[in-house]
Amino acid sequence: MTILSVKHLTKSYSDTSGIFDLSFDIEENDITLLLGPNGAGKTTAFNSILGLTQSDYETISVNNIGIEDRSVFLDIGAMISKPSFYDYLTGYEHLNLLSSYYNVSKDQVNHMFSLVGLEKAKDNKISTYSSGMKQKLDLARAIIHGPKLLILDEPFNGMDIEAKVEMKKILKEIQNKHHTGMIISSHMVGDVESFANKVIIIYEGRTLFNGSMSEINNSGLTVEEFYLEKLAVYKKKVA
Amino acid sequence: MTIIKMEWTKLLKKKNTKVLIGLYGVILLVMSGLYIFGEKSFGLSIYTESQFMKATLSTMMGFILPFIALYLSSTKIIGEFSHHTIKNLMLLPIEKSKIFIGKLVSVQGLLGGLLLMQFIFSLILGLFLDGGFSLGILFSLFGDYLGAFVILGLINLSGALLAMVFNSGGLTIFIGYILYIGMNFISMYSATFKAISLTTIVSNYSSLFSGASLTLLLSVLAYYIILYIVGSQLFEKKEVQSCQSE
Repeated sequence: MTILSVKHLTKSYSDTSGIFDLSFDIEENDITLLLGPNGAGKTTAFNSILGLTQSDYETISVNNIGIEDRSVFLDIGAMISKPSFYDYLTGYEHLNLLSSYYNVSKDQVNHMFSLVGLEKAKDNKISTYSSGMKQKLDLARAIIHGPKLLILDEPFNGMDIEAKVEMKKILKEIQNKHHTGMIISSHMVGDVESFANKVIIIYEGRTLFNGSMSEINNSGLTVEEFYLEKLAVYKKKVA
Repeated sequence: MTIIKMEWTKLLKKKNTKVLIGLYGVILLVMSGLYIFGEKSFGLSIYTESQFMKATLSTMMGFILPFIALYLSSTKIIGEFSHHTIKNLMLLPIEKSKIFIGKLVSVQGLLGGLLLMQFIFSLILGLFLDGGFSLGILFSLFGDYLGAFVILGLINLSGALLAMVFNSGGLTIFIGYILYIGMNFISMYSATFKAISLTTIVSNYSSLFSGASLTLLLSVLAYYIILYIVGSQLFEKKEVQSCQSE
């Protein structure tokens, strides 16, 4: 079942900045890696899909309902680039406040803190959190309502290796429990390639590859080599 | 209702809000102290207690409350955009227009709270000093405070609108006061403008619920409608600043 469908999404800042004619589908249980260097258009794509920025598109739908219908956000969990927090609140207050739109009990809020390993810090002001702790809190916010679709923009930023491993474990658990479809952006090849089944490579807003991980594996190249090859072909074409 | 509760919680948790409420209380205490001191120590009878209640409101409405309204509404609207925390709200299953309303209502609630604090405080003071008020005076006072509340709503809306245009809380307050002075200046030369000027409406808060002219009531209503429509449109179109380098 298709959870997210994006057709012909364009948001242009300049000829080489933004996102141009991006189309893809996310199915149940899919983990799609959106790969590209800094400035490739990953955040722009996510911000456009989530309606944080205005863009042109033919379709953006979640479970066949257009993104313009705000009720679809009941099924979406998102971690956006450079998350911001109400620093004057405690972690618990922040999460409790932002989950008030979902039918979430206080026990669930508490459970989220133990799930992401922030149990001891939940009553501390967010201003005292490290960047890794903030990432974890943002993940808790994104998954608290058991979304069918997770959009994660550079979720491993600011995390040490241990935290990254923990986070990947949590994401796998969510996928198994809710059959959540995910799209995860990264500029680092090694971050999620181990458990992604689809890959989209973008560069200067253009889609260089949109296919399955098995296609890459069948090419006999590593993801890194495959990515560099696609990049070289594009640069040659442009030149 | 959820968004209003959410915005209200955020507003009250902010240190700035607590400081503001405290300062407002201190100003009230100082004003009352001066009044009692003058009344008792020197036997001055400048005001009756009911006049004192009107006078404190008039003083507050002259500068302090409009300033607070502008400050609160501008920071409430633009603060979330400049700190990017607005993203948290825009990922919720709620329309942008409701977020805008939630912010306005929470600020208006706080302004109402300040007015109520002042009303109750002055009322208690009056009861102690004068032994009570007649029902007529009480209604008249209540009408004044209610009028102030409605007018502060207009300033709240104006502040939100200016903040979205100028993208800065400080600039909003500055421009707000420049506009205030400018409108007063034009009003001196044009009677027609004076009749519908926002500054005239603000200064006539006390007559809004007691013998107000139809022009005044219609002007207030028209300002509310216009400011709300323009404000909500601006809010709807306002984008979260996305980082183009990502």
